Parts: sequence; structure tokens; C-alpha cells
Amino acid sequence: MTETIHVPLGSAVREHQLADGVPTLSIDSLSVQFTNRRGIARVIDEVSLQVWPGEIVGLIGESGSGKSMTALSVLGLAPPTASIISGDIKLSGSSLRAMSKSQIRTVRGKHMAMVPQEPMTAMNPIMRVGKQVGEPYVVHQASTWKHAIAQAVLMMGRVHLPLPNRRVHEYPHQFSGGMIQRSMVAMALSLGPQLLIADEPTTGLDVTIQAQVLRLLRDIRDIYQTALLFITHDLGVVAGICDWVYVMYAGRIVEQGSVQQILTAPKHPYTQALLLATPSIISRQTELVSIGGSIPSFFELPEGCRFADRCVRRFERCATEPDLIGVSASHTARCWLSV
Amino acid sequence: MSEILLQVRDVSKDFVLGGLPWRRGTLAAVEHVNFEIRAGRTLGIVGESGSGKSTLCRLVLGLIAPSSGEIWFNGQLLSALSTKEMRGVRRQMQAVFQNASASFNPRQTVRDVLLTPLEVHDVGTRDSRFDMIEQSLEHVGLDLEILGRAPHSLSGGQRQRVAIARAIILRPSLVIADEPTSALDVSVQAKILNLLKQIQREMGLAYLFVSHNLGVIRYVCDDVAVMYLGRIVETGPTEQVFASPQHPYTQALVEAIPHTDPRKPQFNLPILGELPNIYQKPTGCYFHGRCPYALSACTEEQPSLYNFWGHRSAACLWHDKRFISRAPKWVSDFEGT
Repeated sequence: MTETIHVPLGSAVREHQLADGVPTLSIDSLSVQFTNRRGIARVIDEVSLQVWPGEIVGLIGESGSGKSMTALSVLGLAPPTASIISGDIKLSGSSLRAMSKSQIRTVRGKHMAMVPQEPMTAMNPIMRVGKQVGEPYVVHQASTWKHAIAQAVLMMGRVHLPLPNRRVHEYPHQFSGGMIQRSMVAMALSLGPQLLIADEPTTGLDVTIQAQVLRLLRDIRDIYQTALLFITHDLGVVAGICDWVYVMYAGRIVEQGSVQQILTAPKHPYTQALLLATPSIISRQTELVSIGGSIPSFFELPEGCRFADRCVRRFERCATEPDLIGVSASHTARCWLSV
Repeated sequence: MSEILLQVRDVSKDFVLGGLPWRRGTLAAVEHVNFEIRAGRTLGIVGESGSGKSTLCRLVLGLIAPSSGEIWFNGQLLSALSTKEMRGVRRQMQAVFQNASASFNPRQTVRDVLLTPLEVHDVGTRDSRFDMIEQSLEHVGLDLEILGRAPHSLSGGQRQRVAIARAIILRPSLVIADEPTSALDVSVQAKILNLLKQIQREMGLAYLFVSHNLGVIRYVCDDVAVMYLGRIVETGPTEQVFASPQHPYTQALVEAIPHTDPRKPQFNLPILGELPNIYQKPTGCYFHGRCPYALSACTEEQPSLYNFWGHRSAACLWHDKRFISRAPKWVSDFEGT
């Protein structure tokens, strides 16, 4: 029998690491929990992940898996009732947890920025789009509004918005969903951040528009070498845009690896089930394989593997939860079967 | 072939837009739409927002009247029916919507939700009604203990199951499903789609299935109609339409749908620009401004649906006799129009 390769949490070897660099974003065994009358809900449990310069990293999982909470924690925007109980978040090597609120405020927007899920509700409806896109220049660089608007025109042109010098004077309701989302991308990119976090940026957009926005994000990565953390539940989007993938389930990373490894040879039964449940247009499935049961409540997490109750391949060993086990040098899965 | 259950003939719907009387305009939400559904079959309608999919559902349900054209259901012309007769038709025709929670009365329990259609249509006695509720819950895989609960206390998947149970409790012959799974996670979506197919096998009902997700359409539908700005631009058996789309818009849609194979390139489609403003539709073919294959004639001439292979059609001028000889490679050969 082959010897199990135990790789430390979330530290699969990527080419970048061999080159001895520093990841743009590094989350090291982060745990976040909420406390209320029902007890303690640890919604992020020992999560580690890295995003390297010029890399698009997908964080996937169903609703309630903790992926959006991870993004908010990185940005320092987690609700005040959430407490980080352990772990660290580093942006290009410097710890965000050690920073004060006002320090984080200077980093957010300048060095890291976010493209939110529902662009229509993220914009101020009574403020002209140009003013919103230009605001980072005024806030972070103390530039004049005139200069800021000129910059906004430039940025909006860069994200392929038609007629940017006219569009800056319009209000969000005059924009279509795709145009608003491109304006949000322009705003996020305005100060040349090292890290861009996109939380389901194309949910609610039409497919042809979604394709345009995704291609834009891919181009931005190619041109500016921006590191991108891409949160989504759509495996198709992951296949089209991501280099590296982390799969999250009930607050845990359950599998991670390159997009090829995760989508063509998944090792965790949860990842496998997600793939089988996704309707495809490449081939017609005779039967979609659904996942029985539902995601466990954070207040009543099972003792062993968190997916065991819904897993078709569970066995005795699942009563204890495995670590992320090395499948290959760059691919790990939290499942005894991947040994 | 089974009998024709629903026939939509040249149906259009214009909405009069508000405002001062001399400034009022009209919005053509659905234009000259034709299709039919046979008993026990599934027709998928796919299109982006503003393409008129939901208006079409409301027209078929008789919730709004068409501006022109005819809708025939079970041999009856809907617009000729009295309110009372329409109620009888509705018993045969039920709906499931995207946002299940919004389609429930928040003060009703699941029992009330399922009882309402039976009361409205005066079906059964007290005892037999309970049997029917039990049966329909069994069909959708829910426990009886759910009956006392309020819809908002259920999960998204359970709520959609209750909505389906409500739709099938009267044993309809047609169910109109308007984006029934687009608010659900993939694993839950898979369950609901499998459930819809299973119910169809058991009860032999037909679906008019609206979705913007081509993967879902491919999984559930026998035939598909692609809509763009209120018009049907392509129809045919689902497998054929996906294998060789004959309208550039369908091609773009098929290209744009994310697939889970990382080895195949994605999002490189040639479709340009934004969806046009539905209040000011372009002249000629509505798609010409975004079409990589547009002819100069496309800016002036509204293409009709060209039929080919007996059961397929596409509204693209490249299928016209005048242009077919120099058509791009993707235009399949066919005989006449």
C-alpha cells in the first residue's frame, strides 16, 4: 500500500511557490464564529487558501457553505457580531488582522477591492455613476473631483463601456445590469489593486452578458496581473475562468487543486456530486444525480466528516474527520477515500 | 403522435405604456408567436431578460389577453370562454413559478396552500380532499408532517416541492413552469428537475418550461423555442437545435452557457454589445446589431421563420433562397421554405 502523503492544510505546491514568491492573498487557518442563544456557529473553520499574482482562484460551494463570509472577512467587512477566533489574513505578506480599522480602510479600495454580487443594489441610485466610479481617487488620493471624473471616464472606457464620457453623467437606473457590473469592475480597478474579490459577480446577468463580464475579468488578469478570488456556485463559470479551485462545504475547505484536477478528476464525493448535479449542454444526461439530505446546521455539525450524512460512499472511518489529504503534489481532498 | 394540447397561433401582446395621453407608446412584448404542445410533451422556451418569456406564460395561463392571435387549449379558444368556463380550463392548466415563497400566502400553512385549489374548484369531499393532499405530497416526496408548517419555515427546495404539489393536485394536463429552479442551488435543482420528469412519467402531463439555462432546458425538454425581443427566432427538437443551431443568436447562447470542461475554451463568443432597448427595437432583424454574420438586408428586412427538415425553423435571412448559396458554413442545407 502506498504511503499517505500528508500535506499541511491548504498548502499544495504550485509553480509560483517553487519560485519562492509571496502570495497576494494568504489566508492561514482562519476560523470565524457567531455566538447567539442557540450556541456557537463556526461558519469558517480552519480555512487556508492562497491567491497568487495573476491567478484566478475559484472558491465554490452551495449557499451556506461560508464562501461569502470568507470574502467579507478578508475585506474587513464581516458583520460586527462575527469574531475571528484564530488564524491570519495576509495581503502581500502583511497581516490584515494586526491592522486597525482605519488602516484597513486605506488598504481596502487601494490594494484590494471587491465586485459585489448584486450590482444594482451596490450602487447609490441617486448619485451619478461617474462620481461613484471616481470616488476612490478623491477618498484615497485626495484628488479633485474634476480629475476623478476624468479618471472615471478612462476606467469606464477600459472596461468597454460605450460612450464613457456621456455615461459618467448618467444615473445607475439608466444602465443595464451588465453595464452596471462593468462600472463596478471599473470602480474596483480604479486604484490598481493587487487583489480583486468577485462575489458571484454574474449571478442575475443574462448569459451572453455574463460571458462578456467574465471575459473582461480574464482580460484584466492578463493585462494587470491582478490576483482574483472568484466566488461562485457555478461550476461552468469556474471551468471557464479559474486556474485554481477551492471547494467549501459547511465552513471547511473539502478539496483544492488546479481547475483541471478538480473538474476532471475530483476526489471528494461532494465535488463529484456537484459535477453530476450540474445540467450540461455538452451532453444530454439521462438522469441528474442529486445529493440527498441538506447541508448541516452550523449549530449541529456532525462529529466526523461533515458530508458523511449525505455521502453515498461513507464507511466506518468517516466517523472521524480527515485532514486535507494529498492526492498528488498539488491536489488535496478532505476524504479518507483519497488516500 | 399524441393529440395537440395547446396551440398558440400568431399571438402578439402590446402593452400600453403610461404617461400623458399624447406621449403614450406601446411595447410589443410578444410578437407573432406560434407553437404547439402535444399531450405529455415538454416545450422549453429560452431567452434572455426582456425576451417575452414570462409574458408568454401569462398569455397561455389566460391571466392577460393577447392583443392579436389565438390560443387554443384542448380544442377551446381561450378568448371565447366565459369566466366560468375559463375556470374549468384553469383546472387543466397549472403553474409553478421561480419565486415559490412569493406565490404563497404567508399566513397560510402548507395544508391551506394545498387545500385552496380544491376549494376553488370544488373538488372532492372533506375526506377525499385529505387523500388528494396526501397523494400529491407523496408525489413530490414530502412528509405529511410538513402540513402544519408555514411556507417561510421551509427550505427553498421544500417550498418549490410544495408549489409543485399544489400545481399537480388537480391533475392538470399542462403545467407552466416559469424558471422553477433558477433560485436553487445545483444539488437542489437536480432534485427538482428529476422530480418534474418523474411526475411527467407518472401523470402524463405536458410542460411549458421557461428557463434561461440551456443546460436545464436540454435536460428536461423535448422541443425548444428560442426567443429574442419578443419573437421566436428558432424552434426544433432540443437535441438538434443544440447540435446545429441555425440562428446566430442560438449559437451565441450555446457558446455563452458555461460548461464544466476546463479543457474547452469558454466565453470567446463573437456576440457584440448589449441587448437593445426593448422600447426602441431595431429595424429589420432585431439581432442584426449584435450579429457577426449580418447582411445589409438584415437592417431592413424582418425575417420570417424559415422551415426546414419538416420540424425545424429559424428566423434568419441566411436561410432565404436569395442568400443560401453564399451562406456561412453553419447554415445547413435544406429544401425550400
